[in-house]
Amino acid sequence: MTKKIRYFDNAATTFCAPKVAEALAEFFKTPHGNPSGAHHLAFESSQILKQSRAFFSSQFKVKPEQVVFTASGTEANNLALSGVLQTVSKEKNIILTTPIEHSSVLKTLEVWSKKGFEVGFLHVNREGQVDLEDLAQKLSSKVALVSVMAVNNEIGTIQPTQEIGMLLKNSGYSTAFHVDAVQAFGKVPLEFGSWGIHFLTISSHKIHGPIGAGALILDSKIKLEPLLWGGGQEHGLRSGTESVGMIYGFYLAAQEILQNQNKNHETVLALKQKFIEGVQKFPFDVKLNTPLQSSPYILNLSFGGYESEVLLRMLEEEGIFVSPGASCNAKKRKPSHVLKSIGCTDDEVFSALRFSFSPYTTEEDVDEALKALPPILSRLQK
Amino acid sequence: MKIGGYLIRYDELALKGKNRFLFEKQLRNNIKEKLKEVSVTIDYLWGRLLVRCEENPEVRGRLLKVFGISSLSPIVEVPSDLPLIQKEALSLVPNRSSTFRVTSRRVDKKFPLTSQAVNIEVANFVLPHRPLLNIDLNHPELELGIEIREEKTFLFLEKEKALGGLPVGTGGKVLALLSGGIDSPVAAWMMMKRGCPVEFIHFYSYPYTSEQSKEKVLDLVRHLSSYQNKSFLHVIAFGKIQEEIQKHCDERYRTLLYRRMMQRIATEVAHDRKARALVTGESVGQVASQTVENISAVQTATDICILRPLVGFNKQETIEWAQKIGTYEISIRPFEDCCTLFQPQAPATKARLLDLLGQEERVAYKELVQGALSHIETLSI
Repeated sequence: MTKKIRYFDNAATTFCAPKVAEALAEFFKTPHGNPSGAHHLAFESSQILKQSRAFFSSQFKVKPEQVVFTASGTEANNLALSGVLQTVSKEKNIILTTPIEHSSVLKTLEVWSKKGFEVGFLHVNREGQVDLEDLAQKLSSKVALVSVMAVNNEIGTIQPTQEIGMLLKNSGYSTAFHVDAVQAFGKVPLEFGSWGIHFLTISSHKIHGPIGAGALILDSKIKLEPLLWGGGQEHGLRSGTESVGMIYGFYLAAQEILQNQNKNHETVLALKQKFIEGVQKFPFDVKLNTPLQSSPYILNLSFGGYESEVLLRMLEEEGIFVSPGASCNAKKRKPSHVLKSIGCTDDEVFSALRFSFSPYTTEEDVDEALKALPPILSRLQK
Repeated sequence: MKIGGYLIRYDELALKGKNRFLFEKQLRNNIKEKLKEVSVTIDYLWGRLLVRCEENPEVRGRLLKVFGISSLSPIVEVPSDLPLIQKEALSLVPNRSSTFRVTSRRVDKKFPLTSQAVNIEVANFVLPHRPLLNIDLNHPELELGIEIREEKTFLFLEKEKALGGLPVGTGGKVLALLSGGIDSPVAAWMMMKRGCPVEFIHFYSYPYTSEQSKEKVLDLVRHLSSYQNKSFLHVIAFGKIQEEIQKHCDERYRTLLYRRMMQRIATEVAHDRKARALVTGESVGQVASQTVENISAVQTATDICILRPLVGFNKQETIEWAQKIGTYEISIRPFEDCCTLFQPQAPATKARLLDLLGQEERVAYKELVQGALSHIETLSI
């Protein structure tokens, strides 16, 4: 008998919400045109796109043309960083970021560092939070861009995004501010212009939408060079036929998650608390890597030096699905840069598991996970 | 140049006396199976096979993976008539600066000229038109082959060395222990080369190893399968057994005890599948578990014949073979195989059988073997 799936890997990807899945099944069954086309079917597609865009623009209090749909969060991050760095004046050659960003930010900036930019890393404390004093000290007229993620994908740290935005605004240096909000959108409080953010990245499949859509929200005054050239879709910033279905699913998922954000926050927080209290009662060495004040959706724990991939597969045998540290690192056997940056030992890094929750996670799921863990840990005990 | 097919040679087979017919038949069947999606016909000639088809790199590539073929040549066909042979020879031989010879073979003894005479006649006809060629009978860079048969004459410039060995199916079936490392696929291949159909057994340490590690073994079998026509892989859940040994036995004997368990299980599977021997990638002294003392203490777990085709190889030699066979790139993918987990810090290098037997008393090994055998996953590839 196959065990019921207990899914704790929502920071990697979420299951499509039933309402979204149904709407998409219907969408793909219906003939639809290219939104740039001239006939009625094309017009209908463009209307869906317009409706989806209008939702995000009103959500972030921007004009529709300030919403650029992409195929992923990674693409939106790339567009923001590379798009703006191509346009900045020569004197501005410093980029500030944190050592715990997603690889789509770190790798992109690594490329720019080879093109003459200096990449400075802001100090983060043991909870993964950016040191604002360090930022204030490093700021100067030479800083072109600051990129900080709103919620860390591995440990759930919530960054003082608003404070950073205000600090940049008040400095008067006209520094662009990019925020990767993939793990924050729909989950923790998030604003755009009023927080001094110039680029904001969000993604569909982290909020129960389909894989294959993301968006970059843009400040109206900032100039950006596109990465893709062609038909001039997305106001010239992202050529290529819009993936209407995926974008539509993204919109429906966003609508649902934002409507329920506060209620979800409470439910998920209670589940996470229950989980933490549960593991703290185990007669085994379990270390909490997630800060106490963090996103309720992410919980990172280290299990007494036992290989996280073995733990993961033993949990999988019980129907429980988790990630080792961070899912993007799962195939490369290298330690998580995030856990290293917050001072975890090698044993802690290699025995870390990330449990990530969603509004669809139930109390029963948590109970089952808490029940499954002790026998596994005693099985591994030498 | 429009070719008439590929001429297939098989030197070793011809030595097999009375069995020769069976070997030829097996080789022909293997080629047929290998080329079943391509439209070709296969003719028996005296001591040769001719795969009739047009020039086709796909056919050629597949033939180069059939054991039993020692070499092959794309051939052009003409009627067995000297002026026609001479004319075709001229159109075949390029005018480039190199050494050259003609080598004829007269299968049809009724042909009016001897082989030597044909060599001279053809060379004399070609050379005036190809002034850059120089005759060198001993080490020619370019050799024009001519085979004169009653019905037709074949001409060829190219003779590509193939794998040799014996056609798979002419030897007894064997069961190869496949770990996912570099050595065991080479060992399995060596047995195919000796004509043995190979089935595979893999000891899967899930949850201590990942699904990718099994996928890697599957990819190895898929690749090795291209050297025989069909393969079976038997996957044995081994994690539980390792766990028991790790918990109850001395660390230094772990690897040897795992190997004894593997051999016991493999023996049962071999009997069930009518395989006559096990095949391992062991090479004396390569790792601690493969000293002569350890190999001999381990093998008493079973009475089946264990073949170790790599026993005298250096690691580098095995790697070179693996590269040639095409398994190396798969083997070096970075997924841990079952032997790297639970590996002892200081393994025993000269284990005594008595000690191993004593260690085995600490686990219910017969039940563990039975338990593993009751959950075999057999995949047909």
